Amino acid sequence: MTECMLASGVDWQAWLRSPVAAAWLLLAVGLICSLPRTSRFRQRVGWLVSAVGLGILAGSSLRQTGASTSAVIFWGLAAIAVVGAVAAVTMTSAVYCAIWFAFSLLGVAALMCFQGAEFLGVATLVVYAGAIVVTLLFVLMLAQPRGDTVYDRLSWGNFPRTVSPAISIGMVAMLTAILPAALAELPARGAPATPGGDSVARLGAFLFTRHLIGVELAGTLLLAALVGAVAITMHGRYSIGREEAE
Amino acid sequence: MDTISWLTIAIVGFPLVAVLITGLFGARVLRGASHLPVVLAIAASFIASVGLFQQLRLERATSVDGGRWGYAHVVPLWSWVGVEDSGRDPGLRIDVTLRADPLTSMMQMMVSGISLFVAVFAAGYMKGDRGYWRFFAYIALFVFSMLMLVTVSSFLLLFVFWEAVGVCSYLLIGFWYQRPSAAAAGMKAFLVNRIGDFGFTLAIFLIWLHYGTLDFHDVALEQTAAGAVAVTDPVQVAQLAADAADGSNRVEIVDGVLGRRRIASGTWVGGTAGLAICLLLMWGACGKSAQFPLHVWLPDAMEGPTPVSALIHAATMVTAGVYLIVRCSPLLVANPTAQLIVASVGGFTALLAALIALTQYDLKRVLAYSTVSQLGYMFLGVGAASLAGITAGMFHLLTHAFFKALLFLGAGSVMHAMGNVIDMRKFGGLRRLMPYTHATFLIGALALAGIFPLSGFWSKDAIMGAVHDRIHHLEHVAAGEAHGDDAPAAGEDAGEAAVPLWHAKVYRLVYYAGMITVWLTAFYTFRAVFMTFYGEERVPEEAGHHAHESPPSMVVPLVVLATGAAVVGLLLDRSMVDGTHPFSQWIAGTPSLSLPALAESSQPGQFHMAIAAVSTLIALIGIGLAAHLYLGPRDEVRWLKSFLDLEWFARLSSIDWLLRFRSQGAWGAVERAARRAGLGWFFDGLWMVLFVVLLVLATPLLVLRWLSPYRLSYHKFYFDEIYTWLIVRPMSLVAALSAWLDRTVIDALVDWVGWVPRAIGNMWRGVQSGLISFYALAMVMAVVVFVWVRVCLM
Amino acid sequence: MSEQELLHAYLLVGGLLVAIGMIGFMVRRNLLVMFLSIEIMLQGVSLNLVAWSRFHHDLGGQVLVLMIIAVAACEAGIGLALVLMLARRVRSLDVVAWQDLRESGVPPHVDRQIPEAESPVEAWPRLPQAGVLPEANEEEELYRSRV
Repeated sequence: MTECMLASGVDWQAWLRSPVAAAWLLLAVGLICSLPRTSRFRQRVGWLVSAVGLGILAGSSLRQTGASTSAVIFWGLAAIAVVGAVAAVTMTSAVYCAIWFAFSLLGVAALMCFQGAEFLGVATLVVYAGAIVVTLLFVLMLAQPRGDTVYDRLSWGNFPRTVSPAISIGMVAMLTAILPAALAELPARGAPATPGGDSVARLGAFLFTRHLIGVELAGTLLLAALVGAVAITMHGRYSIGREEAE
Repeated sequence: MDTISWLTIAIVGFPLVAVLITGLFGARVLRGASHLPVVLAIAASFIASVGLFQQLRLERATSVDGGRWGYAHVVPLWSWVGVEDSGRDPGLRIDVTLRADPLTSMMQMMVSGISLFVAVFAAGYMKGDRGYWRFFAYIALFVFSMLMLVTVSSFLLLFVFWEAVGVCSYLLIGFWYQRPSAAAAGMKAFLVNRIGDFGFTLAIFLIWLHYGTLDFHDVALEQTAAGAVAVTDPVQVAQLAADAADGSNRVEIVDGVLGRRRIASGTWVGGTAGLAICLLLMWGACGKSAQFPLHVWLPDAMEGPTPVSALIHAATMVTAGVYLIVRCSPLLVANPTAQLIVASVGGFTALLAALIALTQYDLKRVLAYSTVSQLGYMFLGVGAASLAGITAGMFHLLTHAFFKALLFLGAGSVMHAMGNVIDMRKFGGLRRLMPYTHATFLIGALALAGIFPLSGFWSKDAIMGAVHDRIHHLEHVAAGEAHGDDAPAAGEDAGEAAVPLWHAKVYRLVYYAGMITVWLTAFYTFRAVFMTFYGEERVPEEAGHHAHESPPSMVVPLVVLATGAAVVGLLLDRSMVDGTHPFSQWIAGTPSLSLPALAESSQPGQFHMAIAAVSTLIALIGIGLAAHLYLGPRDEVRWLKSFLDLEWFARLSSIDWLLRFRSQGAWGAVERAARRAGLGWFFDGLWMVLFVVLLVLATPLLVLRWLSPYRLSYHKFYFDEIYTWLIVRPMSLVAALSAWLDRTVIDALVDWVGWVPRAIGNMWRGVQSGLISFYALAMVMAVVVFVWVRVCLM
Repeated sequence: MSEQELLHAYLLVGGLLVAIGMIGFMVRRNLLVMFLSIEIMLQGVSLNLVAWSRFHHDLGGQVLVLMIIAVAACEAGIGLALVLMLARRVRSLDVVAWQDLRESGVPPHVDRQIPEAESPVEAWPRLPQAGVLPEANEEEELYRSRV
């Protein structure tokens, strides 16, 4: 077993003893505790534990790379994104989930801009936070006017609540554990050739020359989705209207 | 020898073709004309067998050794099994060979002749029956099997066709299979036959073990370039044997069990093994020929149509046992004890069946028991250990075929006219209504009773004469020994000196049994005749408009068979005229019967005037008694029945008359006087003691009344009940136990194996909970496992 | 941070987002929150794609992210319409309401412990009317002059 585990090039024993593994463990345990449950206190404890885990992760990474300005900014934005996501998933009110999701989107958009993909960052904000979250809130308003339901306060069983974080975080942990070894095989490249504000124009040129058909198809897809959404709701209205008539 | 080979193949080939034609085309195409291929084929077979007979007579005169060892021509067809000799284990070679010798040709003529007439009769009898084509297909199959049985030249093949006739018997007895009694009778016949076949199988194993081959004939295996070639022609075999003696070892001679070389050298297996072989063969013959104790199937076999009874259970199938024993006479001659057992079984069965036939009311049952009895006679003749006896047995087989088939067909004619009623109590006085049937039936009955000059007389007296001669021979041998004669008496062999005297006593007992049976035979036969055809004319209502003479298709065979029954004896037995017996002389040409030992025993052709006179007298007394009882008002019959049923004893042992005696008359007066005098207590005590004594004495005797002579005879000596309670019920119990075991244990195991997948399914069913979140969780878990394997292990 | 370390960090964050989104989908019962979790997963994937695009100096990754956004929009439209239809059927947004496709013989999932509401229904104070009520215009009430 040990020989097999070493075959991937990672020293699992050393990794397991490193603080990163502890961080992952804390994160997993914290998420388990913070998912909707009967005890509110335990949920808050879970948040705390997850925050600690995330902090250790960020800290160990900063220690490895050195706390340069860009690194600190990166990890701050990353914190916004991840904390927002965790909160979006663990809140007991659906509206709060939506708002926290928007908050997480902010972080993600900023991270994209940090990478040099400004257009994508703005597009994310506009489409997701601007359209999708709003639509979601509308649907919430139509379908759950009470705003406060049993099923929001509960997960649907102890088994999934325990197992899902364990396996999800475990999977991510495993994958990231082999990253250094895997990335070492890739050829090292420097920063992109032309950094800076021309990225939107470059993206636009690239899009409308290499991926023109893709753009058109995306547009067609959007049209189809629009018609489909209308058709679904109209159909439903007709059937309900027929029921009411009878 | 080509003509003989072709004729032999033709004799067995025609019925086979008829089977195929009727079987394949009878249902749709031929229908009411299904009898045509069968009748034509059997007629062709008969003509071919007569031709073969002529040809054999011509060839025999010019055969090798001048016919000293008998004459047989072997027709090899093909090689069925050829397992090479592997040095450690002996090889096995079974060839399909046919045989043409005097015994075979006589049997073929009889079988095909009688079958022809029965088939013609059946064409009229079975007209309108739904299974007409099926019947004739079975008849053709039966005739083919029987002809092959008498024609093959190997024990194994004989067994194959032995079974085949058993199967045909089953099919034909249960022909009207929707009747439960018919189906049960078919099963009974087949199963009892099977018990006999078991004995035959063991005999075949022992023969193989001790003789090394199962062929009747000698085979010379010549090692040619193309492998081993079997030569069966006796001339060539003799030639090759001479060559082999000169030193060339290319040839291997295998002496057949009943082949010419073995008969010439006389190397038979004696001792316990030989006795076992003979007894097992007899066991097989008992099953097929319905001898004690396997006789129980023949009377029940009357459930089948009457032509079937005439053909199979009178003339052909049941004679297969006798044929087997006669064919294996060399084996039996080496074992005098076996011959004694054959004779005593035959004699005992003859007496037993005749006793049962006395009280039966069903005409066909009377004839069935009569068949069993006459078969006993045949075995008695064959067991008489002399050429005269063996040929007398075969002669009786031939004459019996004629008159028994005739009687059965007559009964069928009566049944046809009486609307399928065959209970003799329900009809009577039919001689004016059915004159032809009456006349032919009377001739058959006279032949059966053994009245001069009909055929039964000649054959029965030949048998009794042969037994009588045997008794005298044995007593003379013993007397010769007692006087210290060194020179052996005439007809003595080295082995015969070892025959003890008590054999003669047994033969004497059997002889007396045979004589009594003659009387009984005559009595019950004419009882049947008088009950059916004489007396006041009574017709049951089921007859309707059928009560008239049968159509010509049924009457003509009757007339022909009656003619045969009348003249066959006169033609073939000239012992009274000039001391020759043409039949026996012809039969004695068979290799099996040309043993030196048999040549020195009593020869056929002697006419025993004293025995003939005694048996004729006995038969006439029997007929006279039957006439006295059954012609005219039958009051005496009723008295006789009540006497034999011990009714007088039942009345005697009841206390009514005793009480009446007590209260009336002198004794009554004395008792009343004593009572008045105060001595009543004395008489009460006396009578109480008397009653108790009577009770004690009478109870077992009353119980024994159940075994009164009448009841024993009427209930067939309770054989069926004994077999049921001793054999059938225990086997049913075992079968029920096995069925329970199979259902509860073995099926339960299989069910349990089937339960396992269901249980596993039930275990995994809960995965499908309907919650899509759980489905997503399951997918993710699977992906994690993949990732773990990929990342950590590979 | 070198490019490699930046890539490593981005992949980590992206992976985290995917994991969190997965957890949310598998655990939450509200249909809309489940949908939200899927969107979180899409964000994580988008981050990964952008990181690899920068690493390989290939804009294809960004194009794919654009397509993701477009498709996510379509998916949101249709998905939310469907969710609305479903919610109208059972009058709730609970995914546990839809478990009729389970195997026969498997018992349904029922809630055992139901926690009480986080905050009780607030009873907001009602202010009495203050001031002078405007005069009622009967004509106005009978015959509306304004549409």
